[in-house]
Amino acid sequence: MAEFFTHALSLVSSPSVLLLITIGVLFGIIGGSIPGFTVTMAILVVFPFTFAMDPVSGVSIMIGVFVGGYSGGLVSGVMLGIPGTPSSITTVYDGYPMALKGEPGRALGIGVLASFIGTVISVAVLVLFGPLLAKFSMNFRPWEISTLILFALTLVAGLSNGRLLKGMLAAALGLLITTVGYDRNSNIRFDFDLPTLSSGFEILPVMIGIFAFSQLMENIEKLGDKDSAHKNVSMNVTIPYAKIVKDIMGQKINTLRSSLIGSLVGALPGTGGTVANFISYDQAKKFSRHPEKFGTGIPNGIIASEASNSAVAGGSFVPTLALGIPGDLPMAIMMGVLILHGITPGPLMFEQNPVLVGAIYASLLIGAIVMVLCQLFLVRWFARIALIPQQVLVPVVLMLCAIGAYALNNNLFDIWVLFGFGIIGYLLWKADVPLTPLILGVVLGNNLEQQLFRALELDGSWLTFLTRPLSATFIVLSVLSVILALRQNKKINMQRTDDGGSSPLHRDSTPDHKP
Amino acid sequence: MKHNKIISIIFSSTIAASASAFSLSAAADTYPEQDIRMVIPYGAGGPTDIIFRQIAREAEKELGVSIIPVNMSGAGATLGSRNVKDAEPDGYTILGGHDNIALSYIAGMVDYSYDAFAPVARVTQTFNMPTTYPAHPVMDASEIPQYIEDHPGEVKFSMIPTSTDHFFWMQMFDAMGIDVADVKLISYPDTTEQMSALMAEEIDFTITNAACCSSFYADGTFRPLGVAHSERLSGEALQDIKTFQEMGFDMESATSRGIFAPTGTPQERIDILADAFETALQNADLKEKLITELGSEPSFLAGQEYQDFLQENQHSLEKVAENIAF
Repeated sequence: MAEFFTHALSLVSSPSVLLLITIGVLFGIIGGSIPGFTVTMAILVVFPFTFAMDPVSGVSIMIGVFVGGYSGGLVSGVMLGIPGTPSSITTVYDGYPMALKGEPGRALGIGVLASFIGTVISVAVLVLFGPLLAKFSMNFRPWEISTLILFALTLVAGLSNGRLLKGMLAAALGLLITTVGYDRNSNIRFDFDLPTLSSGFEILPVMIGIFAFSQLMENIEKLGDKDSAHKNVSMNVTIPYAKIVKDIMGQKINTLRSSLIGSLVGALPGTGGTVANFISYDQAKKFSRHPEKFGTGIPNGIIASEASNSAVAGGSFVPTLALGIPGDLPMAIMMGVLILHGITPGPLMFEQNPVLVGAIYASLLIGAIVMVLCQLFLVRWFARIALIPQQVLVPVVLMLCAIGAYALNNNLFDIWVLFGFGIIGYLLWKADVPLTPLILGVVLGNNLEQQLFRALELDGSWLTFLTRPLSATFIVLSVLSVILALRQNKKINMQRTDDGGSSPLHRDSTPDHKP
Repeated sequence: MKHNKIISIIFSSTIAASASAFSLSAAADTYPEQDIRMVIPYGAGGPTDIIFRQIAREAEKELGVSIIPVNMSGAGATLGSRNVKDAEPDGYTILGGHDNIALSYIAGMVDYSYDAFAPVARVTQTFNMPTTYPAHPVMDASEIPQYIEDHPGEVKFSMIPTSTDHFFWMQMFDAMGIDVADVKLISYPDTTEQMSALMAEEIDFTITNAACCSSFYADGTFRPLGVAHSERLSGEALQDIKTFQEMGFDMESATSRGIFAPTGTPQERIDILADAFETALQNADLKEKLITELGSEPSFLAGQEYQDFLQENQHSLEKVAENIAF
């Protein structure tokens, strides 16, 4: 295997392929940083260009886009307070406050470094444990997936920060939103006889609408607010390299744990990388000595989120390479590239095309390095976004969101979805309803319903959820998670009354729709 | 003077009218002048997407303009098909679809079928095969009825509701004399999920085809049990698979992919498109790719023949549907 890897490394290190990777990474970073554009769209755009390339080049540029895209999501999250992709939602919680406090460069730098480490660790997991993980994931059937999603949903309690009831309301609303459209047996629900509603709501316009609109409207409201502390903060748009390295070094366990969570969750079928950053952030908070600081702009939160969402990249290759089954849409497209070149991913690939497999590993690593180098250069410019006046920024960002929403499926209706949920998001925010549980519900709703009903179709007994060991484990974890979160909530609420309402989590000093 | 003026007006307007008439036919002569949008109502990277993209790349060379694939998935492929159905019938929007058009209609999801389109040409036929996992006792499709008898009510078949494989099973049960009440039909959203379910031995049988799974057949991860066609398939991994006919069942089933235009598209433009696809499908490299890598037989059909084929196709699907409760 080693000779194949060195051979692959030499192929990937050739100037033309390196150039392609760099182009891919740049494109991915820029695509990922535009709210609504996302990794998936970037890959879709690059996809046709790979037809004319040889397999190694084609795969390398796609991987470049992949790695760049997952890292680009943090830019819009930190600078605009709008997650660039669903997998960067929790980056906003600490990234944006840190930027608002005057350290956007530091936030971006931490995110980039955490992304790099996350990618590298996930490649190590992929190479060393790939086949083993794949075999294990075959035990992950509808019962396990349902209970894992249930566990992810219990994170709602932790994401609501003292407003537990409203958080649960939001999550329930999110789940309800996913019921619009055809259900799994082709019965239509809530379409009000409009064909446009028959496919339901696309997650992305909903998410961008809810987060972007409320954030942008808040920015505009702040413009008129003369007492806003925001105005008095001097923006440090330089990159404090030494401080960033110190931040990461102080968070070694957090980084490792988050990367592993991302790799594992990315490797499991049916969950998707979006869940990874929620679980990772939640775990970082639970294991931290000062959980109440999460959400005020501490490095821990950024690291937890970015390390895990980049680790998903390596993790999602596990089922793709080991089993020949794509873990998610970007993987499916990647497989399309391979199939077009006459390579069928699957167990045979390791035997028939070991060089290509080596090229995938090599591209991931080289892509990660290229990503850091590109970001080193770009972050300086990204940080300056903080200096753009809101009057210019808000309309431009809204326009980009609309373009991103349309480009998703060439469907004009998605822009209306963006707008409609934007208004809903704004109203909810005004009512002090936490928005993240709502997004969590939207992201997980469809999958939960599918898996739950399939589990019951396969075996009509509810007891099976408890008799299958993994499934039972997740149920226990869910219960524990709820208990712990309730306790944490109580602590936070008591602290609030002690501080007399001046705690950093109070509404006026931090963006409200992040805990 | 006035007389002259009137005459000159009539004269110039006649010239203008005939000039525009010429330019209209001139426009027809120069079709296509701009890029053509080909809507693919499925996700990128999937078998339908890849097949159509490959063929379009070849057909582009004949047409002299680009064919731009536009993925528009959703609502069981009806989002994309509806978009083309309602598009301008100027020959610049076409649909890459298959039997699903009729199936969605039969399932009651939409109120239109093949007749809402102007069919351009059939391009490929992909033959579907019941498949199982290696540890399973059933070795080929002829053993399925007996296996069901031995395990009544327990045998699990996976399918994507209202899709081609759902109908395949119903046709097969009919041909083999199997009662739907004796088996369990479990629904999955797409082929990928069915493949992982089969690998995990969660279900007994699923439908696969060479587009997704030829390497899995080759290394033994999946066992194809038979092909619903009159002849054996070509290609190393596929030629040993028995046909249903050889096993004594009379059944033909394939996914027939084709190009459709909105009704009202001028016939000359449809013909130009059909010719381009016909020439594309004669390309040896493309044929090779379709057969060996995508498990599909290039089978061009256009004009009245294609219309007849579609009518027959819908008719036989409707017969099968009588046994399905939607």
